[in-house]
Amino acid sequence: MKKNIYTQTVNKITVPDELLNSAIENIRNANNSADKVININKPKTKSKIFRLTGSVAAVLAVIIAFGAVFFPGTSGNSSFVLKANAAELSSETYIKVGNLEQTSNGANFSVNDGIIEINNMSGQFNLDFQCIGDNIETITYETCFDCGYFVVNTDDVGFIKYSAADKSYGYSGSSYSVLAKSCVFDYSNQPASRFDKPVPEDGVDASIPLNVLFHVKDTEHQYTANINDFGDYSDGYNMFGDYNEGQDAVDKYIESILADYLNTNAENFKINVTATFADGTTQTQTLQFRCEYDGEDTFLTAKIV
Amino acid sequence: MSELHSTKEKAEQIIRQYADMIYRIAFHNLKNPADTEDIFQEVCLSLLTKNAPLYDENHIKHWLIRVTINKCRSFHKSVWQSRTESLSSHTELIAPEASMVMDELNSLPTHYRNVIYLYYYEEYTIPEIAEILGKSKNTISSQLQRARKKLKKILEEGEQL
Repeated sequence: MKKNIYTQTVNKITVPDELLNSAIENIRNANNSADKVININKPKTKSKIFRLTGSVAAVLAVIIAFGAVFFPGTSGNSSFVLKANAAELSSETYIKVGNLEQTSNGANFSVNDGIIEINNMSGQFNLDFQCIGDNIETITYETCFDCGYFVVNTDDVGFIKYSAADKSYGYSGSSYSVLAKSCVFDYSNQPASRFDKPVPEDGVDASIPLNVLFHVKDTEHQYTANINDFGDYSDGYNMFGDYNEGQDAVDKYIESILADYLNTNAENFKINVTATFADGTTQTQTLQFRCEYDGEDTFLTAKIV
Repeated sequence: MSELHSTKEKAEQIIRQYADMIYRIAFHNLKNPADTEDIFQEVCLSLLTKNAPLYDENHIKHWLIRVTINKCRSFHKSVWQSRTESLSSHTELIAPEASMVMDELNSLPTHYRNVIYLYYYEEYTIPEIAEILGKSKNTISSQLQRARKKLKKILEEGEQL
Protein backbone atom coordinates (compact mmCIF):
# COMPACT_ATOMS: atom_id res chain seq x y z
CA MET A 1 0.00 0.00 0.00
CA LYS A 2 1.41 3.33 -1.06
CA LYS A 3 0.47 5.13 2.13
CA ASN A 4 2.55 2.65 4.10
CA ILE A 5 5.45 3.17 1.75
CA TYR A 6 5.14 6.91 2.30
CA THR A 7 5.03 6.71 6.09
CA GLN A 8 7.83 4.14 6.17
CA THR A 9 9.89 6.41 3.96
CA VAL A 10 9.30 9.44 6.13
CA ASN A 11 10.16 7.35 9.19
CA LYS A 12 13.61 6.92 7.74
CA ILE A 13 14.14 10.65 7.34
CA THR A 14 15.59 11.48 10.72
CA VAL A 15 17.71 14.31 11.91
CA PRO A 16 21.43 13.37 11.82
CA ASP A 17 22.93 12.97 15.29
CA GLU A 18 25.65 15.52 14.65
CA LEU A 19 23.06 18.10 13.57
CA LEU A 20 20.92 17.48 16.64
CA ASN A 21 23.94 17.71 18.91
CA SER A 22 25.07 20.88 17.21
CA ALA A 23 21.64 22.50 17.62
CA ILE A 24 21.52 21.59 21.29
CA GLU A 25 25.04 22.87 21.77
CA ASN A 26 24.00 26.17 20.20
CA ILE A 27 21.10 26.40 22.63
CA ARG A 28 23.37 25.71 25.61
CA ASN A 29 25.92 28.24 24.44
CA ALA A 30 23.42 31.00 23.80
CA ASN A 31 24.64 33.94 25.83
CA ASN A 32 22.83 35.39 28.76
CA SER A 33 20.73 37.84 26.89
CA ALA A 34 18.19 35.73 25.08
CA ASP A 35 16.75 38.68 23.22
CA LYS A 36 20.17 39.49 21.76
CA VAL A 37 21.41 36.00 21.08
CA ILE A 38 18.39 34.88 19.20
CA ASN A 39 18.61 37.47 16.57
CA ILE A 40 18.44 34.99 13.73
CA ASN A 41 16.69 37.13 11.17
CA LYS A 42 18.76 37.27 8.08
CA PRO A 43 19.57 40.69 6.69
CA LYS A 44 17.05 42.00 4.21
CA THR A 45 19.06 43.25 1.31
CA LYS A 46 15.86 44.62 -0.11
CA SER A 47 15.46 47.03 2.78
CA LYS A 48 19.00 48.31 2.41
CA ILE A 49 18.48 48.83 -1.27
CA PHE A 50 15.26 50.61 -0.54
CA ARG A 51 16.84 52.87 2.05
CA LEU A 52 19.41 53.92 -0.49
CA THR A 53 16.78 54.18 -3.19
CA GLY A 54 14.58 56.08 -0.77
CA SER A 55 17.31 58.64 -0.12
CA VAL A 56 17.95 59.06 -3.79
CA ALA A 57 14.23 59.23 -4.40
CA ALA A 58 13.90 61.98 -1.82
CA VAL A 59 16.53 64.04 -3.62
CA LEU A 60 14.90 63.27 -6.95
CA ALA A 61 11.52 64.27 -5.54
CA VAL A 62 12.93 67.71 -4.70
CA ILE A 63 14.43 68.01 -8.17
CA ILE A 64 11.19 66.88 -9.78
CA ALA A 65 9.18 69.27 -7.64
CA PHE A 66 11.56 72.05 -8.66
CA GLY A 67 11.18 71.02 -12.27
CA ALA A 68 7.43 70.84 -12.00
CA VAL A 69 7.34 74.44 -10.85
CA PHE A 70 9.86 75.88 -13.28
CA PHE A 71 9.51 73.42 -16.15
CA PRO A 72 5.88 72.22 -16.08
CA GLY A 73 5.10 69.08 -18.05
CA THR A 74 8.43 67.34 -17.51
CA SER A 75 7.54 65.06 -14.58
CA GLY A 76 5.27 62.10 -13.98
CA ASN A 77 6.51 59.72 -16.65
CA SER A 78 6.92 56.69 -14.38
CA SER A 79 5.36 53.45 -15.49
CA PHE A 80 5.15 49.79 -14.60
CA VAL A 81 4.47 46.51 -16.31
CA LEU A 82 2.60 43.54 -14.93
CA LYS A 83 4.06 40.06 -15.27
CA ALA A 84 2.36 36.77 -14.60
CA ASN A 85 4.48 33.63 -14.58
CA ALA A 86 7.28 35.74 -16.11
CA ALA A 87 5.13 36.73 -19.11
CA GLU A 88 4.18 40.37 -19.56
CA LEU A 89 0.47 41.18 -19.64
CA SER A 90 -0.76 43.07 -22.67
CA SER A 91 -3.97 44.33 -24.20
CA GLU A 92 -3.61 41.91 -27.10
CA THR A 93 -4.09 38.43 -25.72
CA TYR A 94 -5.19 36.69 -22.54
CA ILE A 95 -2.40 34.96 -20.64
CA LYS A 96 -2.60 32.60 -17.71
CA VAL A 97 -2.38 34.40 -14.36
CA GLY A 98 -3.36 31.89 -11.70
CA ASN A 99 -4.65 28.39 -10.99
CA LEU A 100 -7.81 27.58 -9.16
CA GLU A 101 -6.77 26.20 -5.80
CA GLN A 102 -10.10 25.85 -4.06
CA THR A 103 -12.82 24.14 -5.98
CA SER A 104 -15.66 21.81 -5.26
CA ASN A 105 -14.75 21.59 -1.62
CA GLY A 106 -15.56 25.24 -1.52
CA ALA A 107 -19.03 24.50 -2.82
CA ASN A 108 -21.91 23.87 -0.53
CA PHE A 109 -24.07 21.36 -2.32
CA SER A 110 -26.60 18.77 -1.37
CA VAL A 111 -27.86 15.61 -3.00
CA ASN A 112 -31.61 15.15 -2.73
CA ASP A 113 -33.35 12.30 -4.50
CA GLY A 114 -30.33 11.84 -6.70
CA ILE A 115 -30.21 15.49 -7.76
CA ILE A 116 -27.14 17.60 -6.97
CA GLU A 117 -28.15 21.11 -5.98
CA ILE A 118 -25.43 23.72 -5.66
CA ASN A 119 -26.18 26.27 -2.95
CA ASN A 120 -23.11 28.42 -2.38
CA MET A 121 -19.88 28.53 -4.27
CA SER A 122 -16.40 29.76 -3.54
CA GLY A 123 -13.24 29.50 -5.52
CA GLN A 124 -9.75 30.74 -4.89
CA PHE A 125 -7.31 31.66 -7.62
CA ASN A 126 -3.70 32.27 -6.76
CA LEU A 127 -2.72 35.31 -8.81
CA ASP A 128 0.98 35.15 -9.60
CA PHE A 129 1.75 38.79 -10.32
CA GLN A 130 4.91 40.83 -10.31
CA CYS A 131 4.76 44.59 -10.86
CA ILE A 132 7.99 45.78 -12.45
CA GLY A 133 9.02 49.43 -12.62
CA ASP A 134 11.36 52.04 -11.21
CA ASN A 135 10.66 53.89 -7.98
CA ILE A 136 7.45 52.05 -7.16
CA GLU A 137 6.35 52.86 -3.63
CA THR A 138 3.07 50.99 -3.45
CA ILE A 139 0.84 48.77 -5.54
CA THR A 140 -2.89 48.95 -4.89
CA TYR A 141 -5.38 46.27 -5.89
CA GLU A 142 -9.09 46.90 -6.13
CA THR A 143 -11.75 44.43 -7.23
CA CYS A 144 -14.43 45.60 -9.65
CA PHE A 145 -16.88 42.75 -9.12
CA ASP A 146 -19.17 42.15 -6.18
CA CYS A 147 -18.17 38.58 -5.40
CA GLY A 148 -14.39 39.12 -5.56
CA TYR A 149 -12.12 39.48 -2.54
CA PHE A 150 -8.39 39.50 -2.01
CA VAL A 151 -7.21 37.10 0.66
CA VAL A 152 -4.72 38.95 2.83
CA ASN A 153 -2.73 36.68 5.10
CA THR A 154 -2.19 38.31 8.47
CA ASP A 155 1.41 37.07 8.36
CA ASP A 156 1.90 39.62 5.58
CA VAL A 157 0.64 42.62 7.57
CA GLY A 158 3.27 45.29 7.19
CA PHE A 159 3.87 44.38 3.59
CA ILE A 160 0.22 44.17 2.57
CA LYS A 161 -2.29 46.55 4.10
CA TYR A 162 -6.03 46.38 3.60
CA SER A 163 -8.34 49.30 3.99
CA ALA A 164 -11.28 47.32 5.35
CA ALA A 165 -11.65 43.69 6.22
CA ASP A 166 -14.88 42.41 4.78
CA LYS A 167 -14.72 39.24 6.73
CA SER A 168 -12.37 37.08 8.71
CA TYR A 169 -11.35 33.95 6.90
CA GLY A 170 -9.80 31.64 9.42
CA TYR A 171 -10.42 28.57 11.46
CA SER A 172 -12.94 28.52 14.32
CA GLY A 173 -12.72 32.16 15.21
CA SER A 174 -9.02 32.57 14.54
CA SER A 175 -8.18 35.29 12.10
CA TYR A 176 -5.28 34.16 9.96
CA SER A 177 -6.44 35.95 6.88
CA VAL A 178 -9.11 38.42 5.85
CA LEU A 179 -11.08 39.03 2.70
CA ALA A 180 -10.71 42.58 1.44
CA LYS A 181 -12.04 44.47 -1.57
CA SER A 182 -8.79 46.38 -1.85
CA CYS A 183 -5.26 46.09 -0.50
CA VAL A 184 -1.92 47.86 -0.78
CA PHE A 185 1.55 46.32 -1.21
CA ASP A 186 4.27 48.44 0.39
CA TYR A 187 7.59 48.16 -1.43
CA SER A 188 9.58 49.30 1.61
CA ASN A 189 8.35 46.35 3.65
CA GLN A 190 8.70 43.74 0.95
CA PRO A 191 10.25 40.48 2.24
CA ALA A 192 13.29 38.97 0.54
CA SER A 193 11.25 36.13 -0.91
CA ARG A 194 7.64 35.07 -1.28
CA PHE A 195 6.13 31.69 -2.18
CA ASP A 196 9.53 30.03 -2.46
CA LYS A 197 10.76 32.63 -4.97
CA PRO A 198 12.99 35.68 -4.61
CA VAL A 199 11.15 38.96 -5.09
CA PRO A 200 12.14 41.21 -8.03
CA GLU A 201 14.70 43.90 -7.25
CA ASP A 202 13.05 46.32 -9.64
CA GLY A 203 9.49 45.95 -8.48
CA VAL A 204 7.03 44.25 -6.20
CA ASP A 205 5.95 40.65 -5.94
CA ALA A 206 2.23 41.29 -5.77
CA SER A 207 1.07 37.69 -5.81
CA ILE A 208 -2.11 37.19 -3.82
CA PRO A 209 -5.07 34.81 -3.71
CA LEU A 210 -8.28 36.12 -5.26
CA ASN A 211 -11.40 34.62 -3.76
CA VAL A 212 -14.83 34.56 -5.34
CA LEU A 213 -17.89 33.89 -3.22
CA PHE A 214 -21.49 33.79 -4.41
CA HIS A 215 -24.85 32.20 -3.78
CA VAL A 216 -25.65 30.01 -6.74
CA LYS A 217 -29.37 30.30 -6.06
CA ASP A 218 -29.14 34.05 -6.54
CA THR A 219 -27.82 33.61 -10.07
CA GLU A 220 -29.97 33.48 -13.15
CA HIS A 221 -29.06 29.85 -13.71
CA GLN A 222 -30.23 27.08 -11.43
CA TYR A 223 -27.45 24.53 -11.64
CA THR A 224 -28.64 21.02 -10.96
CA ALA A 225 -27.52 17.62 -12.17
CA ASN A 226 -28.36 13.97 -11.65
CA ILE A 227 -25.90 12.16 -9.41
CA ASN A 228 -26.15 9.07 -11.61
CA ASP A 229 -24.48 11.00 -14.39
CA PHE A 230 -21.26 10.99 -12.42
CA GLY A 231 -20.67 7.27 -12.08
CA ASP A 232 -19.56 5.81 -8.77
CA TYR A 233 -19.61 8.83 -6.50
CA SER A 234 -18.54 8.67 -2.88
CA ASP A 235 -17.07 11.17 -0.49
CA GLY A 236 -13.96 10.98 1.62
CA TYR A 237 -10.23 11.33 1.32
CA ASN A 238 -8.22 8.34 0.34
CA MET A 239 -5.07 9.49 -1.36
CA PHE A 240 -3.52 6.10 -1.92
CA GLY A 241 -6.73 4.15 -2.31
CA ASP A 242 -8.80 3.58 -5.39
CA TYR A 243 -9.31 6.74 -7.35
CA ASN A 244 -12.97 7.69 -7.51
CA GLU A 245 -13.93 8.75 -11.00
CA GLY A 246 -17.39 9.85 -9.87
CA GLN A 247 -15.99 12.27 -7.35
CA ASP A 248 -13.64 13.66 -9.95
CA ALA A 249 -16.57 14.14 -12.33
CA VAL A 250 -18.49 16.05 -9.68
CA ASP A 251 -15.42 18.23 -9.07
CA LYS A 252 -15.20 19.07 -12.75
CA TYR A 253 -18.91 19.80 -12.92
CA ILE A 254 -18.71 22.22 -10.01
CA GLU A 255 -15.64 23.89 -11.49
CA SER A 256 -17.54 24.33 -14.74
CA ILE A 257 -20.31 26.13 -12.85
CA LEU A 258 -17.77 28.45 -11.28
CA ALA A 259 -16.26 29.23 -14.67
CA ASP A 260 -19.66 29.68 -16.28
CA TYR A 261 -20.79 32.10 -13.59
CA LEU A 262 -17.62 34.17 -13.74
CA ASN A 263 -17.58 34.36 -17.53
CA THR A 264 -21.31 35.14 -17.68
CA ASN A 265 -20.60 38.15 -15.51
CA ALA A 266 -17.40 38.94 -17.38
CA GLU A 267 -18.23 42.60 -17.83
CA ASN A 268 -17.29 43.30 -14.24
CA PHE A 269 -14.83 40.47 -13.77
CA LYS A 270 -11.92 42.89 -13.45
CA ILE A 271 -9.45 44.37 -11.00
CA ASN A 272 -7.66 47.71 -10.99
CA VAL A 273 -3.92 47.71 -10.30
CA THR A 274 -2.48 51.10 -9.38
CA ALA A 275 1.20 51.87 -8.89
CA THR A 276 2.17 54.91 -6.85
CA PHE A 277 5.68 56.14 -7.55
CA ALA A 278 8.21 58.00 -5.43
CA ASP A 279 7.41 61.27 -7.19
CA GLY A 280 3.77 60.96 -6.16
CA THR A 281 2.46 60.10 -9.61
CA THR A 282 0.23 57.11 -10.18
CA GLN A 283 -0.56 54.76 -13.02
CA THR A 284 -3.54 52.39 -13.16
CA GLN A 285 -4.03 49.30 -15.28
CA THR A 286 -7.33 47.45 -15.42
CA LEU A 287 -7.24 43.70 -15.91
CA GLN A 288 -10.06 41.77 -17.48
CA PHE A 289 -10.25 38.15 -16.30
CA ARG A 290 -11.56 35.06 -17.99
CA CYS A 291 -11.98 31.66 -16.36
CA GLU A 292 -10.78 28.73 -18.48
CA TYR A 293 -10.49 24.98 -18.28
CA ASP A 294 -7.90 22.99 -20.23
CA GLY A 295 -9.18 19.51 -19.53
CA GLU A 296 -6.97 19.17 -16.46
CA ASP A 297 -7.10 22.39 -14.48
CA THR A 298 -9.30 25.46 -14.12
CA PHE A 299 -7.42 28.75 -14.15
CA LEU A 300 -7.71 32.48 -14.76
CA THR A 301 -6.39 34.33 -17.76
CA ALA A 302 -6.18 38.11 -18.03
CA LYS A 303 -5.43 40.96 -20.37
CA ILE A 304 -5.19 44.72 -19.94
CA VAL A 305 -8.27 46.71 -21.00
CA MET B 1 18.40 28.06 38.58
CA SER B 2 18.20 31.18 36.41
CA GLU B 3 15.24 31.81 34.15
CA LEU B 4 17.44 31.61 31.05
CA HIS B 5 18.94 28.31 32.17
CA SER B 6 15.48 26.93 32.72
CA THR B 7 14.40 28.16 29.30
CA LYS B 8 17.38 26.50 27.68
CA GLU B 9 16.64 23.20 29.37
CA LYS B 10 13.04 23.33 28.23
CA ALA B 11 14.09 24.25 24.69
CA GLU B 12 16.52 21.33 24.65
CA GLN B 13 13.80 18.97 25.78
CA ILE B 14 11.47 20.23 23.04
CA ILE B 15 14.17 19.92 20.38
CA ARG B 16 14.83 16.31 21.34
CA GLN B 17 11.09 15.60 21.23
CA TYR B 18 10.34 17.27 17.89
CA ALA B 19 13.70 17.20 16.09
CA ASP B 20 12.65 14.62 13.53
CA MET B 21 9.39 16.43 12.81
CA ILE B 22 11.15 19.76 12.23
CA TYR B 23 13.72 18.09 10.02
CA ARG B 24 11.09 16.22 8.00
CA ILE B 25 8.98 19.31 7.38
CA ALA B 26 12.00 21.33 6.30
CA PHE B 27 13.08 18.44 4.10
CA HIS B 28 9.63 18.26 2.48
CA ASN B 29 9.80 21.99 1.75
CA LEU B 30 13.38 22.44 0.61
CA LYS B 31 14.26 19.13 -1.08
CA ASN B 32 17.83 19.76 -0.07
CA PRO B 33 19.70 18.31 2.94
CA ALA B 34 22.06 21.28 3.28
CA ASP B 35 19.26 23.85 3.34
CA THR B 36 17.25 21.60 5.62
CA GLU B 37 20.08 21.65 8.14
CA ASP B 38 20.22 25.46 8.07
CA ILE B 39 16.50 25.78 8.67
CA PHE B 40 16.65 23.16 11.42
CA GLN B 41 19.24 25.22 13.27
CA GLU B 42 17.19 28.38 12.87
CA VAL B 43 14.01 26.78 14.13
CA CYS B 44 15.82 25.38 17.17
CA LEU B 45 17.23 28.80 18.02
CA SER B 46 13.82 30.40 17.59
CA LEU B 47 12.70 28.46 20.65
CA LEU B 48 14.64 30.97 22.73
CA THR B 49 12.71 33.94 21.42
CA LYS B 50 10.12 35.55 23.63
CA ASN B 51 7.14 34.39 21.60
CA ALA B 52 7.88 30.68 21.72
CA PRO B 53 5.19 28.89 23.77
CA LEU B 54 7.72 26.67 25.54
CA TYR B 55 5.45 25.74 28.40
CA ASP B 56 2.29 25.31 26.41
CA GLU B 57 2.21 21.61 25.56
CA ASN B 58 -0.90 22.05 23.45
CA HIS B 59 0.55 24.68 21.16
CA ILE B 60 4.28 24.11 20.94
CA LYS B 61 4.00 21.44 18.25
CA HIS B 62 1.72 23.57 16.07
CA TRP B 63 3.99 26.56 16.65
CA LEU B 64 7.03 24.58 15.52
CA ILE B 65 5.25 23.43 12.37
CA ARG B 66 4.26 26.99 11.48
CA VAL B 67 7.70 28.41 12.24
CA THR B 68 9.44 25.71 10.21
CA ILE B 69 7.19 26.22 7.18
CA ASN B 70 7.46 30.02 7.42
CA LYS B 71 11.24 29.88 7.66
CA CYS B 72 11.38 27.64 4.64
CA ARG B 73 9.24 30.16 2.75
CA SER B 74 11.46 33.07 3.64
CA PHE B 75 14.65 31.29 2.84
CA HIS B 76 17.17 33.86 1.77
CA LYS B 77 17.44 34.66 -1.90
CA SER B 78 21.13 34.00 -2.28
CA VAL B 79 20.88 30.63 -0.61
CA TRP B 80 17.79 29.82 -2.64
CA GLN B 81 19.66 30.45 -5.83
CA SER B 82 22.96 28.87 -5.00
CA ARG B 83 22.01 25.40 -3.89
CA THR B 84 20.75 22.91 -6.36
CA GLU B 85 21.71 19.63 -4.71
CA SER B 86 19.22 16.92 -5.49
CA LEU B 87 16.91 15.36 -2.98
CA SER B 88 17.99 11.98 -4.24
CA SER B 89 21.36 12.46 -2.54
CA HIS B 90 19.49 11.86 0.69
CA THR B 91 16.79 9.41 -0.31
CA GLU B 92 19.15 7.11 -2.15
CA LEU B 93 20.15 5.86 1.27
CA ILE B 94 16.76 4.26 1.62
CA ALA B 95 14.95 1.60 -0.37
CA PRO B 96 14.59 2.31 -4.11
CA GLU B 97 10.79 2.12 -3.97
CA ALA B 98 10.66 4.51 -1.03
CA SER B 99 13.07 6.82 -2.78
CA MET B 100 10.80 6.84 -5.80
CA VAL B 101 7.80 7.75 -3.67
CA MET B 102 9.68 10.70 -2.18
CA ASP B 103 10.85 11.84 -5.58
CA GLU B 104 7.28 11.67 -6.83
CA LEU B 105 5.98 13.50 -3.80
CA ASN B 106 8.55 16.22 -4.27
CA SER B 107 7.35 16.84 -7.78
CA LEU B 108 4.24 18.36 -6.17
CA PRO B 109 4.04 22.05 -5.23
CA THR B 110 5.32 22.83 -1.73
CA HIS B 111 1.96 23.58 -0.15
CA TYR B 112 0.64 20.23 -1.32
CA ARG B 113 3.60 18.46 0.26
CA ASN B 114 2.95 20.13 3.60
CA VAL B 115 -0.69 19.12 3.59
CA ILE B 116 0.18 15.55 2.59
CA TYR B 117 2.75 15.31 5.36
CA LEU B 118 0.49 16.71 8.05
CA TYR B 119 -2.50 14.62 7.01
CA TYR B 120 -0.92 11.29 6.26
CA TYR B 121 2.12 11.24 8.48
CA GLU B 122 1.23 13.42 11.46
CA GLU B 123 -2.38 12.31 11.08
CA TYR B 124 -3.89 15.69 11.72
CA THR B 125 -7.49 16.27 10.72
CA ILE B 126 -8.41 18.81 8.05
CA PRO B 127 -9.65 21.38 10.62
CA GLU B 128 -6.42 20.95 12.60
CA ILE B 129 -4.28 21.47 9.51
CA ALA B 130 -6.36 24.52 8.64
CA GLU B 131 -5.65 25.97 12.07
CA ILE B 132 -1.93 25.18 11.94
CA LEU B 133 -1.41 26.61 8.48
CA GLY B 134 -3.81 29.52 8.87
CA LYS B 135 -5.97 28.46 5.97
CA SER B 136 -9.65 27.70 5.68
CA LYS B 137 -10.85 24.12 5.93
CA ASN B 138 -12.08 24.35 2.36
CA THR B 139 -8.66 25.32 1.13
CA ILE B 140 -7.00 22.43 2.94
CA SER B 141 -9.63 20.00 1.67
CA SER B 142 -9.10 21.22 -1.83
CA GLN B 143 -5.32 21.06 -1.62
CA LEU B 144 -5.46 17.58 -0.17
CA GLN B 145 -7.80 16.39 -2.84
CA ARG B 146 -5.75 17.90 -5.64
CA ALA B 147 -2.51 16.55 -4.20
CA ARG B 148 -4.06 13.13 -3.95
CA LYS B 149 -5.17 13.26 -7.56
CA LYS B 150 -1.77 14.34 -8.81
CA LEU B 151 0.03 11.82 -6.64
CA LYS B 152 -2.30 9.05 -7.68
CA LYS B 153 -1.52 9.72 -11.30
CA ILE B 154 2.20 9.83 -10.60
CA LEU B 155 2.11 6.64 -8.58
CA GLU B 156 0.17 4.80 -11.23
CA GLU B 157 2.78 5.81 -13.79
CA GLY B 158 5.53 4.80 -11.38
CA GLU B 159 4.05 1.35 -10.87
CA GLN B 160 4.51 0.65 -14.55
CA LEU B 161 8.23 1.17 -14.31
